[in-house]
Amino acid sequence: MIRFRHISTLFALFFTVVFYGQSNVDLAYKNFKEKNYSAARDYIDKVIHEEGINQDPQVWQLRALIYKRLTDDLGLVARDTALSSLDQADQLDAKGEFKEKIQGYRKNIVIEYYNDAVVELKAGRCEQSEKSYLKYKELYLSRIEPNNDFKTQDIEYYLALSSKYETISKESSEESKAKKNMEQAMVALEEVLKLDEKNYEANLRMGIIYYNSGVKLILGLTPDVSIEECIETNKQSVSIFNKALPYFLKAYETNPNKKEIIEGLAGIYTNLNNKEKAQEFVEKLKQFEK
Amino acid sequence: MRLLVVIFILFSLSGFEGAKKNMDVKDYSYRLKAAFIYNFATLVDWPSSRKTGDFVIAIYGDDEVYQELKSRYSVKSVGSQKVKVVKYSDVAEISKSHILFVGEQKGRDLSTAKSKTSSYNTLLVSEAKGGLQKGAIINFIGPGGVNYEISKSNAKKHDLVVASRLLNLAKKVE
Repeated sequence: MIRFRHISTLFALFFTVVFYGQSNVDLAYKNFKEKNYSAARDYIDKVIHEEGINQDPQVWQLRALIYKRLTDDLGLVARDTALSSLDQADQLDAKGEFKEKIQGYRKNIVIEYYNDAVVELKAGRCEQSEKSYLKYKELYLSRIEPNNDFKTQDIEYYLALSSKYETISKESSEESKAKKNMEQAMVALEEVLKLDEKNYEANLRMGIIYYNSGVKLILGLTPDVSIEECIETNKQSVSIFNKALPYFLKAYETNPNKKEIIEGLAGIYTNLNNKEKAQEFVEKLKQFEK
Repeated sequence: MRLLVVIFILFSLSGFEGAKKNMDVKDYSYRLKAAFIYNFATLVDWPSSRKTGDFVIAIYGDDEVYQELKSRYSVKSVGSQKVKVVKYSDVAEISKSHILFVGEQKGRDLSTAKSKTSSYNTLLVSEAKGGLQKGAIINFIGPGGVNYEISKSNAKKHDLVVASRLLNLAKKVE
């Protein structure tokens, strides 16, 4: 009886050891399929310390997929773990059997940073959004396509970012917050103009931001202002309108038949009290009324 | 072990274009001009005979400046005189006032306005090319926003004394 007990214990122990190594992968996969990602992680993290099986690139791919799914719970560290697991899978895939698949998973994870940037932007977390966007670019260039040209995407992103900053600024009741966000909007537009100095949207919106700040300055005058303050306000607003002018002119150069830019130029010249030029654009505006 | 099929979904950035149209194109100089006109009232000295009753600021040919003065300056005073803002719709309506501002749209009536106010010690303010030559005492000029020029001799003809502070800040003094 005692002997039998010993044999059964040894048997159990043997099966546990053997089965343990195999079943951890199975259990990780089973839990992954059942969307029990935390449990799946516990099993897969055991597997990667098991000699032999931890040399299987598929194990590391599975780990990447499990950690990818855990990003919501564990944060970006999980996504980093997913990416490093794919790197490990890549390294172990000596024959290149899984190369395409690994690269696909990797691209999928990298794109999540871009999607994060969009989600964060929609939620008004602009700084975080830009960090995610930059991380996406960095990873895309380092892990997916080193020669990828981001110009078009950068322009689209920074136009969207500036627009969000502007919206936040306009909705803010706190003066300093409104100012800070408007400045950030301008920084984002400058990014666009660095990439494409003739970009119509960026030039138009930069012009409008300056124009609106000049107008705001004038409208801020109270009936108690001194003559010196009148002159100073005029001087400052003229300086701001003059800053707006080159942006409007550049936008006009790119798109001379758009009503909005002709209106903008009419507004700028009117408020600069440049009657001849104001009249020129007011006349052009009349064409749209016909 | 069969792993997942990879699908790439890039979220869309559409819907972020809303900010660009927000530009109100109009002439905002009415606020500056009104502030200047009120300052002219405080920096010009009228004969003692005109220092009783309401201080009348009349506007001809600029509704926005009129509305601005009416809504924001009617509660104010010049010395002990309460500000009263009036508007003329026709040159024939022009009569006695302390200040008469003839807007750019009615610049052609400046000479008539001058003759109609010549006996009232009226500070005639214009916004016209050659406004001082046509009899205005102060003329708003551009470009460069709202600046003004002054004719000391025209002021003297109407027994008005312009403070040196106002003269010193003028773009041009004749």
